[in-house]
Amino acid sequence: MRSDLLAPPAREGLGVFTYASVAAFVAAAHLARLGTRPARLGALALVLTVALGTLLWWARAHRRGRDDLRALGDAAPVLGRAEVERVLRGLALAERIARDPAAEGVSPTLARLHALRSIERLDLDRLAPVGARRARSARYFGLFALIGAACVLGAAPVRLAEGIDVAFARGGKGPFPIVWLDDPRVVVHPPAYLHLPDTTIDGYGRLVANRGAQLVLRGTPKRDGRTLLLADDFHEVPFLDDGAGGVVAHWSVATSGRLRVRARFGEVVIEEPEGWELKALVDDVPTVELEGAPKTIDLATAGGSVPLKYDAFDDHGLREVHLVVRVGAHEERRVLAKLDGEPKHDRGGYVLRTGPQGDPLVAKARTPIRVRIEARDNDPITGPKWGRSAELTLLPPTIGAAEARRYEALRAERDALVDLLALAIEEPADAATAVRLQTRFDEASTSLGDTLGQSWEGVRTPPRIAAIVKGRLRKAREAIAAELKTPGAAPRANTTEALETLTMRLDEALRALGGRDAKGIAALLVDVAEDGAAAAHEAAQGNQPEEATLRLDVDAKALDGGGASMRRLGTLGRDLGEIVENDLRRVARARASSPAPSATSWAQAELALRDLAARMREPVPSFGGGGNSAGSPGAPSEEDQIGDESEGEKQAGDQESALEELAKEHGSAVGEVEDALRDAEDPKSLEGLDEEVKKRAKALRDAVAGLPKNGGMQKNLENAEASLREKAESMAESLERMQIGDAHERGESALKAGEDAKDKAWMAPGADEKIDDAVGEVKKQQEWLDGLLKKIRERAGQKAKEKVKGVAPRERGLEQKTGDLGEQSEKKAPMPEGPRSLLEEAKKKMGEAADALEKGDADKALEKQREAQRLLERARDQMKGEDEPQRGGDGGNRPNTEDKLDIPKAEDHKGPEAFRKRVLGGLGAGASSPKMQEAVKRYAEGLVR
Amino acid sequence: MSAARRCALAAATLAFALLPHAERSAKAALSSLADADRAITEMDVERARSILASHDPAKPKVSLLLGKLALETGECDDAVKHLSPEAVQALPDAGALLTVARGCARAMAATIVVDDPVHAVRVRLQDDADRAIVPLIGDAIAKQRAVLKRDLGVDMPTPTRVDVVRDQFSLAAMTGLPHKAAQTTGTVAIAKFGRVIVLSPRAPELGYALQDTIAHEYTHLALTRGTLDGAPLWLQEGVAKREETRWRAATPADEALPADAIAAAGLAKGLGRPLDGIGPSVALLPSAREAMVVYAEVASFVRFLAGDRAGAAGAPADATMLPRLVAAYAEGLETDAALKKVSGKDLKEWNAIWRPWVATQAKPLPASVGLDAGKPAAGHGKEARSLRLGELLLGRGHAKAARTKLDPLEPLGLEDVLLGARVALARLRAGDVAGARAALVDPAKLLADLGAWWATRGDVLAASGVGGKGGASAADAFSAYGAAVAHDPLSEQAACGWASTAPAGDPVAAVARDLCDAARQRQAPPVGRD
Repeated sequence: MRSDLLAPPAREGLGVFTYASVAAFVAAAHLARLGTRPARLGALALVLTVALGTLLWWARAHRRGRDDLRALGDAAPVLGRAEVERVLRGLALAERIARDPAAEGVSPTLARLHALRSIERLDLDRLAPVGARRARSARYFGLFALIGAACVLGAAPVRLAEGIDVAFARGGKGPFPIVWLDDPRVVVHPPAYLHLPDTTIDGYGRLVANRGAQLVLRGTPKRDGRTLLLADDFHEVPFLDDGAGGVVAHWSVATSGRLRVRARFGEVVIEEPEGWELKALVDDVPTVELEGAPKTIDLATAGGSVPLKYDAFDDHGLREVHLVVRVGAHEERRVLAKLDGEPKHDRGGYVLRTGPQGDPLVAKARTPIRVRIEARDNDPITGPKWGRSAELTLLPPTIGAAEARRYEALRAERDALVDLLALAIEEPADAATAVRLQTRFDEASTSLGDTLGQSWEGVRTPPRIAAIVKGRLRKAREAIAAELKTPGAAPRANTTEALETLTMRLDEALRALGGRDAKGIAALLVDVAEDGAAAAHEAAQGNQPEEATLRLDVDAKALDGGGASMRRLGTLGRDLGEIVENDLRRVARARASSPAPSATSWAQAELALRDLAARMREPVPSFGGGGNSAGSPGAPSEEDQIGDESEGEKQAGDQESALEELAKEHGSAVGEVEDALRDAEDPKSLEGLDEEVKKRAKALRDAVAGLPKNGGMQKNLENAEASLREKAESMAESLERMQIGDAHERGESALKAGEDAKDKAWMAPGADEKIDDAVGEVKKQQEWLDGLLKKIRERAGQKAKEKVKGVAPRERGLEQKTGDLGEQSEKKAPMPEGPRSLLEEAKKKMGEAADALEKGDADKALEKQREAQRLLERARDQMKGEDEPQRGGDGGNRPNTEDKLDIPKAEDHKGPEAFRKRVLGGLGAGASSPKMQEAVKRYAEGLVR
Repeated sequence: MSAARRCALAAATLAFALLPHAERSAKAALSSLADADRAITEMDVERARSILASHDPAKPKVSLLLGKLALETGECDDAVKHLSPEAVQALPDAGALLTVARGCARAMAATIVVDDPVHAVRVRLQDDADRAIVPLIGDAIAKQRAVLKRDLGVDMPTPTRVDVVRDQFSLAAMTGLPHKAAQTTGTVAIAKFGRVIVLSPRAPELGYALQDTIAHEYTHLALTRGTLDGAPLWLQEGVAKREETRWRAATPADEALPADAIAAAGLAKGLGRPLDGIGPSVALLPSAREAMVVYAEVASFVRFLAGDRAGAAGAPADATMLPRLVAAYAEGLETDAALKKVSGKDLKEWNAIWRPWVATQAKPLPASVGLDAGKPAAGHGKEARSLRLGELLLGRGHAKAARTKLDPLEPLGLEDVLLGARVALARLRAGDVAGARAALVDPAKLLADLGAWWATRGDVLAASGVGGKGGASAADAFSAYGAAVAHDPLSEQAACGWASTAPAGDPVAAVARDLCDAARQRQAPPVGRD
């Protein structure tokens, strides 16, 4: 019964599902070819749906074939519902009775018979036509789908392959390569700056191109409608229609890699089986060879210069070559060559002057100087690259060695004074000893004087120390001279006292100087230690370990030298020097901790150097503070604080300030008299002068009218003549304005220009006469002006008489103040002979000026005042060590760290008038004699009027 | 029931079962970390290490404790690694610890460690030239260890770690004490992180009492361990002052300037502080003068309390007071409760008894102490000039001339032991041994100990000749040099004198020789040659 009912539709159904599956597969492949994630999922869903549908249908049909009742029920619409229900009831009854024969009172046989008869009554023949109809429909449907799929496949069979490829893509790439292009051809265009010809490669294979080159890839697409791309592992560029049936892609070479042609389907690409292995040639960093580098050169033995010879190479071209000089953290670059980017090699040289007059950076350097050459190439693609040579390390004289020598020299002088003092104390106070004392003192004094003036590689004795020592030397000399005159116990006591004070002042200054120098050296060592730490860090990182090792060696040597210098510099220096020494041992220990220093040992070396740098930043004694050193442990203890200046230096500083103040105050008094005179000068008060000056101005102008106005660019006769004319006209202009003094100054300038013009007069015949006429006229007017000025000043003096009398008490007061300053200094901190006598002379001149002022003699008073002022300023300068002849050593032009630069304070601003006075005073002070200074001053007045 | 439902039910049951356990685990972990912290405080390195080994080192709190432990053992690089992570730095105190760890790593990079197994001491030397002082450190530590057990009931673990740094700069870097503060108060040592960190005796120009200082700081460590870091500052400093000299025989100078008298004078001048208001550290007090008074104040009070002043009005006589007090703190009691428990009185009540008593202890103090107004201490003005001139003349070999400058200073030598030493040296070099001996006061009257004084005394005694007229013996000179070494171990005069007078076969002879070599290598200039 089952086979009758079900077999025909099942067979037909399976066929239909087979056809549908084929069609669905083709459709799914096309759907997947879109390449998007939803499309690929849709394709998968479609294939699965058809497959699952087939399975489900088959399973259902199979299950239905085993279930008679259900099969009968399913056939009810065809066989008649009433008949089928009757049969089903009969079958149910037969089954129930078979299980429980007594249930219905009917025998099981009868019940089964009844059911069979019900079934037999069904007209099963009615099922066949229905099944046949259904089978036919299914066949048609399946056939139609199959034909459809066949058509699609036949029209574009590769699409199916593409679809499958896309469907099975992993990581966005189809697993099966497909050829996309026919006749591929690559043209390589090297970067323009290389000036290389193009190259062409047909087909696939290996490509070599410079970085920045352009690749032009052409080919004919095998199939239309595909999005073709040229790609490596990181980038892709599209192929564009070349207008001739082909496609073209442009590729910029940046890195090496594998180039492939690929087609993109949504998110998936399918690549060609073959491609190009691209090797990108990188533009190398220039290489620079500095002759002899790496090497360490001791500047002390360098002979005043270090020749630097270099060769710079680049694979394509050089643009620039620099000399790089590095001192500590400071780096300076100097251009050695500017090139056009064409030469691949540049050879050159430079002489680095290392003497005191040489390169300022090198001359100033106290720590190792690193010199290297750097060359820049012409690479516009990745930007210019600098190549650097190995470094030459120039070692300046040992850090602090000069200071240490100065300290030791001064200490030797102190020791000589101590010996002298012992002689004064121990020997009897008689005439013979006095003579011996005198002799020994003269020797010690000469030696000390020489030492105070000496230079140790530019390092000198600070002026204040020199001043206090020279002052005390003078006092000791006076005491010994007195003892020599009248030998005895009392004069000897004075001698001893003077020598003790001299010794103590030098000792105090020496100890303070040692402390200051130690601090200064420590500051220099900070940079060296930091540089060494940076080198150790580089080594720990594995960056150029050989270079880093060399750098560290040099730094360690410099530190060692600096530490050794410090140890020669008294208490603080010895303390800090020991620390340097110990920390260098730590560095050496770290480096020697294993056969080859490891990253850890380099790191330890770096830490030790950083510790040293940090310590040198705080150059204070290792132990400080407290009181009661003999007290209990853990409790505070005594420590001598190392001051920056000794007591004597402070006193000398106070004297400098007092002298400075006095000079300023006296300058103001001089200005007062000058102002009074200037105010009194009134040329207009002279009758008829107005007309006279106009007449004379016209005469002047007429005399030079024949001279050229513009001299042109060259310094020739015409130029000189023009200058004479300009100055004479300027004189005339001042005359017209009644500026008599100014006119006189300009006349001087005109005469000078006239002399210059006369020197060149041979160049043109007749020029001599023209110039002589002009100069003659100027001279004539100058003579007239001399007389006029004299007259004006006499009148001004008379006029200002009463006014200048008022300045007299001020000048007298300043005279007194000067005397007090001298006396006080004799008691507390005697000045050296030079400033003291200048001060005395200045006091005398002030007294004379005050006398003249009291009499109302302004001219004389002003003259004396000016002389006093210049003497005061010279005394001040000598106290500051600015007026001292320099002796010894290298004559060093190195700036002394002890020198102080006077920076004017806000209150020092006195405007143009003060400036004028300073210039006048300053220029006047330069002359050796006060009288000569007057001439200089007149010249200066012309400049600043 | 579906499989999914069964699965969900099982998960819920498991979570329910596990929740209380997780809480229990967390509590156990926290307790374990507290134990580790306590072990670190108690300097029990092995216990702390074993507890922390069972924790995840990536956890910030664990990492913090590992950092503390590394600082304790002096492994500063490791401490930096443990303390650096951001999560650790978010914890309280981690920032300060990291700063110290970095300072320690920098100061102690590539230094040497010397083990003294005999005395169970491990000394790390920033300057390897200090190697010669290690036996002195070991000797003091070993003796003080026994004293601490006896006096405080604290059994110190071994090895004892001591770091010798070259200067106050490194001392500050390794402890977190501001450098300025160390300079102001003249700090020479600090006990921290289970270690004694001490200044090299080469740092102060005239040296300092290294061994007493070590004993002092070691006492701080013992108190920290014994009281679980519960001891207040007055107790810490007072006990440390009391114990610092108990490892050796007492010397007259120990009591020459009694703490009671200084405290009385200081308190009368208003320089003292309330016992419970000293601040975080004596080293942070604003001046050395105040620090001196505060030291005297706490030392006087602790001695009063410890039974040293038995017989004085209201003073306890119980010698076990201190160990019992330490034990009370270890129970977690606060100061008042701890004092009440062991003595029946709290701090205020004891203060009320001690203050009136200490006021009665006032007596004239030498001007050099700096508490009495009036005559300035020697070393200023005219005396300083004479001293310096004398030294310079001595330095140039003019002993006779030097005496003219130094002899007048002899009367001041009673107060300023350096002056006394220089006067004696000048006389000795001038050949006047008897005069030199006369210039050095009787050691029993010495107001303060100074290496230079003792070394000069050694020179003078040695010059007197064994069995000579002066009656000095080689043993006297050796003893004087020994005292000099105790106060300035790296002085050439002291160390080489000690070595030259050491009896053959005496175990200290080798130590003395090493010290002498180290002192010579310093190349410190002789008197008047700097």
